Amino acid sequence: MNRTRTSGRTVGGLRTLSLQAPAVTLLLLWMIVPLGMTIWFSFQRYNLLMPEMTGFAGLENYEYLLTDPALWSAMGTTLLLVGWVLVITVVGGTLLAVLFQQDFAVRGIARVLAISPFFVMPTVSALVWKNMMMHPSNGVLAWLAQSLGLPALDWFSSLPLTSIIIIVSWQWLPFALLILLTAMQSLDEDQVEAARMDGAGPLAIFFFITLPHLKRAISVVIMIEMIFLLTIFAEIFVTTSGGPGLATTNLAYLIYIQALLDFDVGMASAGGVIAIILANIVAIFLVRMVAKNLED
Amino acid sequence: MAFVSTLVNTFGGRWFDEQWNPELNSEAWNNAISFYVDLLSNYGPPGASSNGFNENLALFSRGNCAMWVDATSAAGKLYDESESDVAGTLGFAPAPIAETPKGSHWLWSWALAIPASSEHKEAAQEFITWATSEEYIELVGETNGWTSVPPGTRESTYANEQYTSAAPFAGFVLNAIKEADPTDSSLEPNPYVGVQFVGIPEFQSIGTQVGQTIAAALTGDTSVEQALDSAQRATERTMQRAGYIER
Repeated sequence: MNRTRTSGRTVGGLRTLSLQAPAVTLLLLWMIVPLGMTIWFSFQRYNLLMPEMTGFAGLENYEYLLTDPALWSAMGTTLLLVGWVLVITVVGGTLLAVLFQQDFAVRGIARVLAISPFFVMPTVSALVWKNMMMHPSNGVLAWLAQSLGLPALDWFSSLPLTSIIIIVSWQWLPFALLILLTAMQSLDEDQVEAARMDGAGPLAIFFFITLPHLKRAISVVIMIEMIFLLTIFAEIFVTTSGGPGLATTNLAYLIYIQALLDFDVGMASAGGVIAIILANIVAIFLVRMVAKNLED
Repeated sequence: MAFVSTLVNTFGGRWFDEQWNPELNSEAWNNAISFYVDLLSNYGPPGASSNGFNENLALFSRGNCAMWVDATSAAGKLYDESESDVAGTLGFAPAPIAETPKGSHWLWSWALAIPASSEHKEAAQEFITWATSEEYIELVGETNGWTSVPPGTRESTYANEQYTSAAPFAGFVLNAIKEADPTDSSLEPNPYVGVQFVGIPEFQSIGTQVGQTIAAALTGDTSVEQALDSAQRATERTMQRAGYIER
């Protein structure tokens, strides 16, 4: 119950609980109140355009959303988007972290440049990519293709989801790089030197020393990125508006069209709860995968 | 979607019949959207499905496009020699007509509002009065050039000789504003107000969803018929939910 340290003080027990209580209570309220209100609203008829229409709606809001033919497409698009961006940023981030760990002439400037995309506002970077890079008439990529004699590719018409994945990966790669680079700096140089003296090549060092060392950081990156990537909205809104068809409509954008544009608070809350459930499923899956690594 | 709506109107179609049933898979819609898709696929610029007002303005003012159908508010920028390469070689005409001139040219306006919760209502009112006054128009004309004057805001602008001599489109725009009729915008009668939009709050959602499906038809992902069928279903769902029509 009350353990005693060598200094005679106690650890655990009632005193600690009462001191922790304010902080824990605050966090609990912070989490429970919005969640509770969202769940409450999702069972209500609450439309800002029709204030006279109130009352308990039961599962009506959920039914409307779950029978939307676009819902499964949106979930699939969300998972594709999150999955690809995670793969690109983690792999790219690891490789770049290894690169930036080396000492080379312009490392300082290169590091600043590599980290800056994360600080550009999502809408701004999406617009720059759409109008200046990927545009088939005015874009840099079109100009490059034409100077090589190839026809310019209309990115947002033929490869809409790929374009969004490229834009989002470009934005989030610096985040992964930053965290992984910091983790790299705690790599024990003596171990690497010993391995080199034993004749290990760079690839062997990477796979047997660097990667295991980075496992914890990689799991952190995956978890944090997943939380944000599930709700990507700005890039889609500014470039393709969810189209063509449903090609780039993810769950967040679907909820926006179905509920928020109609000022339907009840349905938007139902959409939010569905998104929470999806996020939790993905999280459980990832946490299980990652928990194995954290055990080491 | 604004242009698409006027295109549908002039082909004889409408968004909703008088009982608010959507008519998105009617023959008129099919003809209009097929024409639209053919025209843009064969003669339109690449990237048409994601080009908005600004992108088209850039394309046209640099001489990359020969024809552009859009709002009269673009005229000021296009006739301004410092912003447009084609200022000296421009012409203009009313939008083309297919079966009926009704609803073939749209009407839209912008407004300035003061929120009821504002703590500086008088100051806001004063600012708005100044920003929409004759003196302001004079100020713009003298500082930025008479083609940049905000069009379609005051009658006095159109009586001002300096404006009418610098902007050859002035009389045309004034006529277009006077002739567009949002209460009588389609061949067959319709229950809504608006030429290129439907004046109900749900239209934001409906317009976006239909726009998505038409973009899919434009990029060739779906056929025009499939796109219009799915647009019809989506609109019916929204209208049922909003209570305009029975399930």
